[in-house]
Amino acid sequence: MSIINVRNLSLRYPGQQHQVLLDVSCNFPQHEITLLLGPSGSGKSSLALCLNGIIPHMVEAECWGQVNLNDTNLLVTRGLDTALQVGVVLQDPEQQFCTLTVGDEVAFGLENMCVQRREMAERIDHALGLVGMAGWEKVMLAQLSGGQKQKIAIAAVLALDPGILVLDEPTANLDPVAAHEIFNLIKHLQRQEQKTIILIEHRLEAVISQAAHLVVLSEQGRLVAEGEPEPTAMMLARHQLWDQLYLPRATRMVTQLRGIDHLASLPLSSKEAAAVLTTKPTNREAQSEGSDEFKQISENVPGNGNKVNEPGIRPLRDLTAEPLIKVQDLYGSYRPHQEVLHGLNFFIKRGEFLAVVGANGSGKSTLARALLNLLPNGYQGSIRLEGRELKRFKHKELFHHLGMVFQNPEHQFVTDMVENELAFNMNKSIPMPSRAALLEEYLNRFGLSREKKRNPYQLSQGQKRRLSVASMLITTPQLIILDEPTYGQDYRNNNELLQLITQINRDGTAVLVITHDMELVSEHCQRVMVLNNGYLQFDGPPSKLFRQPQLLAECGLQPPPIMALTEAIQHLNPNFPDCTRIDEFCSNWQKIYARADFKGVAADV
Amino acid sequence: MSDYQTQQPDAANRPLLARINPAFKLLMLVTPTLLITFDYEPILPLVILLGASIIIMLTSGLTWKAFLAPAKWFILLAFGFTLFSLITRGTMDRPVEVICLLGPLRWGWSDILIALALGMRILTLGILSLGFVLTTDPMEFVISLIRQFRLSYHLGYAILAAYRFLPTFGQEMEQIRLAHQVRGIDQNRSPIAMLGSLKRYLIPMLATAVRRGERVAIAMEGRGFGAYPERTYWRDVKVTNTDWIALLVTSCCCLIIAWLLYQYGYLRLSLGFNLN
Repeated sequence: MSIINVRNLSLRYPGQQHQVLLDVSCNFPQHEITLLLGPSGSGKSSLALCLNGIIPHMVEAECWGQVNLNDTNLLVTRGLDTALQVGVVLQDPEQQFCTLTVGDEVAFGLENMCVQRREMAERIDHALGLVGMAGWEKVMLAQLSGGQKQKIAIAAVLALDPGILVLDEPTANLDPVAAHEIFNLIKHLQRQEQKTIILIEHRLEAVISQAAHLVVLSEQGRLVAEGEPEPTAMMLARHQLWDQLYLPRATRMVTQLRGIDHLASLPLSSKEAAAVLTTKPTNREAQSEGSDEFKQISENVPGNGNKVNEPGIRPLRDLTAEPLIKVQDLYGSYRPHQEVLHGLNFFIKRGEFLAVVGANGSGKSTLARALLNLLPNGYQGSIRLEGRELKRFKHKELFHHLGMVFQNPEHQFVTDMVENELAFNMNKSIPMPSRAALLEEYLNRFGLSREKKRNPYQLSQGQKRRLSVASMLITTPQLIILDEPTYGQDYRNNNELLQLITQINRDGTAVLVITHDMELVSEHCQRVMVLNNGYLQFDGPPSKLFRQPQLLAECGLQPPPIMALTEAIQHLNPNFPDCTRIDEFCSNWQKIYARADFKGVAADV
Repeated sequence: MSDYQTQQPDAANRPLLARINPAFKLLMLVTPTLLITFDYEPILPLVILLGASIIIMLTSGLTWKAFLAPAKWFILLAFGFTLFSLITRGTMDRPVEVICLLGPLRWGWSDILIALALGMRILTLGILSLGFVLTTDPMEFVISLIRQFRLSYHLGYAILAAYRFLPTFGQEMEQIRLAHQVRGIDQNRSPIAMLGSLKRYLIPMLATAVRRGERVAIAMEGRGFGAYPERTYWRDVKVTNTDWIALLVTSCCCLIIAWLLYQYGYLRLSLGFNLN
């Protein structure tokens, strides 16, 4: 039974030409988890805010259509009880807090509803208990970790006991373990507390198997599909609407290895996927597999684009030569005597692709700043770039060799036109005609040619990110550091960006990514460094890291999804070898299943 | 604030000064502040400074270190103003009985007193406000303004939300500074260069501020903020007898000291700026 139904909803913000939502009709079933999906800019968040009447009653917008909650059209009337029925939790908890301590924050909604003090204490206690943080009332919000903040943001809404909870990307920028906890909490709220959950999420890995309903929007703000997860995902897959969605890796593997046209149903969990992948294909399936399916597998390994990066295969240049950067006994801090980094030793080779991972607050960003000599008190120990101590470089000179892309691309913009933004750091000694040509080349390569006269602030999220990367790369640095490059990006933007970065890396620039995205680590990086409380816990190939479950757990990390699929297959076939990478998985699967089955079927015919 | 960073202690366990109703604590500052502002002898500020320091150290539970770390800025500021005043007065060509000479600078007794009075005034006002800030929880301050001073709660929470933003502004400026530095923009700290780079900082910061403001408003509205003309409060910020006693005692003490000093000619109140 649906509790909210949306009828022909269109929406436009004042002063804007285009409509954010176009004639959207959909339902949100009661007591279930509904996933609200779509690429960046598809109007998901706007739709979410319509669901409790914040749009149009508080945020101004022109709306047409109906949003019905219990026979009330929220677009017309927004009663007091609406706030009590539909709770909204936005992306960044830090930006939603309006008080200073946990207790005050959770009490805030109750105070607004004029709940008496005695009852308030009970309800705060209950809400904190639901998110597993009972007894934290007196702790300052500023002291909490990212995951804890998000739990408090949820508790602050739960205190009002809403029947419906709308969560807008609640795990963005959380480390994998914290994200996992939030998902478990959401599951618990639906199962045990009978809440209706409406969840906006880019990454479906952990949630799609829990959901009962999908609502998918297109880039233009139209409804693409709606319904139960499996048939809806199947429909999207059949119509090549893939890149709207960050479907689980296991699902993608099945469609790629078996071919979408031959699947009766689409597996959404690793377990189901393993079952499909280990059974013999039917005759019809096998025949078509012979034609072009293999080609597709080997050429179009998912996530890898066109096999641009194969850490195991591609030889590293100058293995014996002097490393690009050599770090010895590195200590770094923001305040005297409060070291964040504790005696790190490592090196970065020329043209290498490496990742720095670790829980929130483990010192990743501090390390990046140290590598650019940007810590307020400098660093202790030694960082040598091509044998020369970093401190001896003038800043301007240093940033010809090293580049960094920050989390918020806007911080990096220094001019008011895309083209100037790119030209800003260009080497002035290059003669004018070749400079113009280089500029054109970068605009093309990063898909920004059409936007070259626009203001950087007017670009879309993905374009802003590409521009910030392009403007750093145009000086051809030897090392580029990327802080959470995939954060807040949809599947397509993400893939495009990763392809660009891989391309850059192939051209010889060493790449260091700071990330929570374990698939990015396993698929693209030759090396990974794990930080834990400022200590270097691991430095080696990803495949080795992901085979150490205890270390992963200690450092707040999780293995990439392909390993869950491997494990599920090993459960059915203990002979299936360990895989940490997608191409590895594909070739193993082909060796064991595809070829044998194929021959067998062929002989039958 | 600085002492309550990790955990909010229970009201009953707090030191006396931290237990006093914030609105009343603010009222406690009114009498000494007025007296200091309009007096231009250095004695009264000195007496109040000593008195206030003793009271703060005895009743706030702060350590000397925690108190002096921020206080040193006021000491420096006061010292700077005294010095500046001495130099300007030293160059003035007036008929005074010179008691001190330094190169071309000449000072009379009154010059030194006036310069000292200026410094003492700044230092004392600084220490008084520090005593308030270091022992007051901002949340309780806002609640007591709403409840005891009839401040509209809309305004009170707007102030609180803005207060929450302040540290993030600093963080964001730092992020922008770093991002620009990596792009090879020289960090010229001269005032003119800073003015020139203002636009580069302002646009991204404004963009973030607008977004943040909208988000926090949505989050507050989403939890029923402003639904009723009144609201209840989880934290009870009441007025107790202690608050009245503290207010009366401190205000009376200040007035008595001022009266005594006046009797002996060490207090001269003036509403103008005629310091000669």
